[in-house]
Amino acid sequence: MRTLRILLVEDDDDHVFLIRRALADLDDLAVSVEVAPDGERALERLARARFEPGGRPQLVLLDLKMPRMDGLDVLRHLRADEAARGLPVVVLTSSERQEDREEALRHGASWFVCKPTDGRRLRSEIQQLAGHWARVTT
Amino acid sequence: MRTNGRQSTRRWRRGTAGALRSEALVEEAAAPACVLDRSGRIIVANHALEQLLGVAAGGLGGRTLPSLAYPPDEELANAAVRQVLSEGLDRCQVEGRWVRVFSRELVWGGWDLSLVRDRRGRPELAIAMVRDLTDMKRSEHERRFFQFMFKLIGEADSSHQVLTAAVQTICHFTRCAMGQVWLPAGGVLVCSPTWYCSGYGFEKLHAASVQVSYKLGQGLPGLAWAKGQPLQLDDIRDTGRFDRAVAAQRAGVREAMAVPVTGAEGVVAVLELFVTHERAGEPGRLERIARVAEELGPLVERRRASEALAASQERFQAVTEAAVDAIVSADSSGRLLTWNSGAERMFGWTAEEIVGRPLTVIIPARFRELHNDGIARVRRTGTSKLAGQVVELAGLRRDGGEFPIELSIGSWNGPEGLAFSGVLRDITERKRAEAALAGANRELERANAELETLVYSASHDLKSPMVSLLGYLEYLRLDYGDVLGPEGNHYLNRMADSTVYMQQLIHDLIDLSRVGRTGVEPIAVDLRPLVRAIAEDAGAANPGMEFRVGRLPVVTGDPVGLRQLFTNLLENAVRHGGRPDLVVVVDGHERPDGGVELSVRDNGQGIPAEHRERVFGVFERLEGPSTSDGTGMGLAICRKIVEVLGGGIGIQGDRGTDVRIFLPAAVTARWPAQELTAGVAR
Repeated sequence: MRTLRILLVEDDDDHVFLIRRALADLDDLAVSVEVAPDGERALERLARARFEPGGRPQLVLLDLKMPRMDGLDVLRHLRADEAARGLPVVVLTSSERQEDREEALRHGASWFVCKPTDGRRLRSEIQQLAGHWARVTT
Repeated sequence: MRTNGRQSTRRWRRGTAGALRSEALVEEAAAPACVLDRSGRIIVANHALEQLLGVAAGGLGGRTLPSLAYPPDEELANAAVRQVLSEGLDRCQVEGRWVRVFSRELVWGGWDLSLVRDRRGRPELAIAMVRDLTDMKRSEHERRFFQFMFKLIGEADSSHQVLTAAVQTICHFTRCAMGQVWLPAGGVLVCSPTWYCSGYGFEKLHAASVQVSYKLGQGLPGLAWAKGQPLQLDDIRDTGRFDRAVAAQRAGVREAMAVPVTGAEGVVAVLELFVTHERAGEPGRLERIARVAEELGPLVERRRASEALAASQERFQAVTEAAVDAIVSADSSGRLLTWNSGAERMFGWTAEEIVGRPLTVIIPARFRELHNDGIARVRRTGTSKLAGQVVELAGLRRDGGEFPIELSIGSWNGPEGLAFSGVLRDITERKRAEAALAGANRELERANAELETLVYSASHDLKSPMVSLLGYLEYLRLDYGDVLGPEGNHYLNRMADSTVYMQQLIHDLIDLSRVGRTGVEPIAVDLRPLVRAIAEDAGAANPGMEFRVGRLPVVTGDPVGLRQLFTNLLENAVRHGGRPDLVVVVDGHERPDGGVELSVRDNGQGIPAEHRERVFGVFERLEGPSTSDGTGMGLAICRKIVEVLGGGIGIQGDRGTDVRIFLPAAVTARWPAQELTAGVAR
C-alpha cells in the first residue's frame, strides 16, 4: 500500500479532525498526518525534517488565516528556502476570495482548494487531493 | 416823410395862433404826434400815431391818453397829462403800454408832452411826440422772459422740474392761463401730474388730461409729437379735433397750443398751453413759445443724462454698499480707487484710509512680487491675464491676519487708462468646509477599507464553523445513520439544508458588499455573447424553457458584475416564473438621450405591482424560505450593480415580469451592427 506523509498546517481543531478522518478512511493509501497549529510551528517542523529524511512530509496542506504567522508568510519562507523549494504546498482554506487564490498561487502555492461547506464534498475532495498527490510524489 | 395837407387831419376847434402853429407842427412831423386840448383830449393826431395805435384816419379825435393806455398803465398816463395841463409843468415824459384800438395788441410808447401856453402864460395846449418803443420793449421783455426762465431752470433739481419751470414761465410771459407737460412713455404721451395755471377752474381740464394718453399723431399733443412742430388751435369750440373741449370750455379756454420740446434724440416732451377768451388772438405767441421750446430741448436732455448717470451711480453705490463681498477698484498702477463697506469689514481698513494706496496693502508679503510683476505686465501689454477669471488667493487683513479669498477681476478703459474692479469673497468658511469634506472622505475611505477587511474576515470566519458543522453532520450520517432511523436522518438533512442556506446568505452578503468596490478597471463588454452564454446554461438546466437573446449593446463596465447581473435576472425568472414552459426574452433599445434600456422579460406569473419595489431590498423574498430556494438578495445585488454604472432598474409588465434596466450614455459604448435573428438557446 502506498503511503503519503502530510503536514497539515491548520489552527482549527474541528477542521483538523475532519481532514484527518477523511484521510484515514482511504482504502488504498496510508496517510500519516502531522499537524502544525500555526505557521511558525510549521516552519520549525519542516526545518527539523531536513535531518530525518524518512520523516519528511511529502505534501503540505496549508490554511491561510492563522494566528502568529499566516499561510502566505509560510509560503514566502518556504519558497525562499533552497531545500524546501520543491515541496508541494496545497493551500486549503475557507476563503473564497479570488484575490487570496491569486496571491497564494503567486507566492508559490502548488494548488488552491476552497474548503467546500458540503460535508460530503469536503470529504471526497480531501480524499481525491491526497490520492492525486500520492501518485505525483511517490 | 411829409404829411402836410393830409385829409386825415381834423380840427375840432379853431384855436389861437399858438394852437394853429402846434397843429401844423404835429401834422408835418414824421414821428407819431398829436395835440391835446386843455382837458387832455386829442385835437389832432398825425398819420404816424394813427398807424401806431391802429386806427383809421381821425379815429383818435376826442380820445384821452388814459383811455388809450393798457389798463395797468392808465394812471401813469393820467398823471402825466395832469402834470402838464393842470399843474403847468412844461415838459413831461411817460413810457407805457398802449392798446391798439382794433386789434387790441399792445404797443410800447414813450410820450413826450410839451405845454403850450397862451399869451397870458396859461396852459392852452399840449403837444405830444410819441416814440414807438414796442420793438425795444418787446426784445427787453423777451430777454427778461429768457432770463427768468433760465434762472428757474438753473434752480430746478430735475429734468421734470425744468419742464415745469418752463411751463410756468411761458404761461407768465405769454399770458397763457394754463400749461402742462406731456411726456413720451412707452409709445404714448402721458400728461405729467405737475402743471401750472393762473386763475381758477383748470383742475378739471388737467384731470381730464391726466386720464388720457395719446399715441403718435393722436390728439393735439400727439399731433405735435408726430410732426415735431408747434401747433395751435385758434378756437377749441370750432373744431372736433380737440377731445377735451368740454373741460376746456368750462375753464374758459379759447386757444390751445402744443409745442414739442426736441432734443438730439427726438421729442423729449410736449408742452400744452391754454389761453382764455380774454387773452386769445395775440399774434406771435406761438412763435415766442416755440423759440423757448427750442432752447429747452438740449437742456432737458442734458439734465436727463446727468440724472440717469446719477441714478446709475446711486444704484452702483447701493449695490456695492449692500454687498457682503468686498468690491474694490484700482487703476493700472495698482492704486485703489474705490473701497466698499464689504471691503471695510473684510480687511479692517476704512475707505478714507485706503483709497489711493497701492493694492499691495491687502496682499500678503510673499505674493507682492508676483502682483507687481502682473501690474507691470498689464501696463506693458494693456491687458490682464486675470481679467474675467476667478482665482483663489490669500488676503491680508489690517491686523496682519491672512485669510483665503476668491477674486474675480473685471477691467475697463477708464479716463486714466486701464482700470480694474475686483470682487473679493472671504472663503475661509468654504475652505474649512472643503477640508472637513476631504477629512470626511478620508474617513469614509478608511471605513470602506475596514468594511472590506470585515467582509473578508466574515467570509472566512463565518464559513469556517460551517465547514465544521457540515463535516460533522456528514460523519454523523456515515457513522450513525443506521441507528438514527428515518426521522433522525430527516432531521440531519434539514440541519444540513439550513446550514447550506446560511452559507449562501453569507456568500450573497459578501457579493453585495463588494459590488463596485473591487477596483476593477471598467472595460468594453459586449452584452450579447455574455447573455447568450448565460442563456445557454439556463436553457441546458431547464429543457422545457426558452431563452431568446435579442439586440444588445456593448457597454463599459465590470464584466464580472455584468455577468452576475444577467445571471441573477435569468435565475430569478426561472425560479419565480412558476411554469415549466417559461419564455424569457433579453433585448435592449436606444434611448433618445443616448443611453440604453435593457429588458429581461418573461411570461411567468409576474410580480404584483405593490411588491415591485420591495423585491429589490436585501433579504426580500415574496415567499418564505421553504417554498423556493434563493436568498432574496439577487435583485439587491442587481440594483447595486446597475447603480454603480449610473443606471437604474425597475420592474414593469402586466403579464409576466419585465425587468427594465436603464444605463446612461456614459457607459453605453456602441451598438453592434443590426442582427436580424434573435438567438434562441434551448
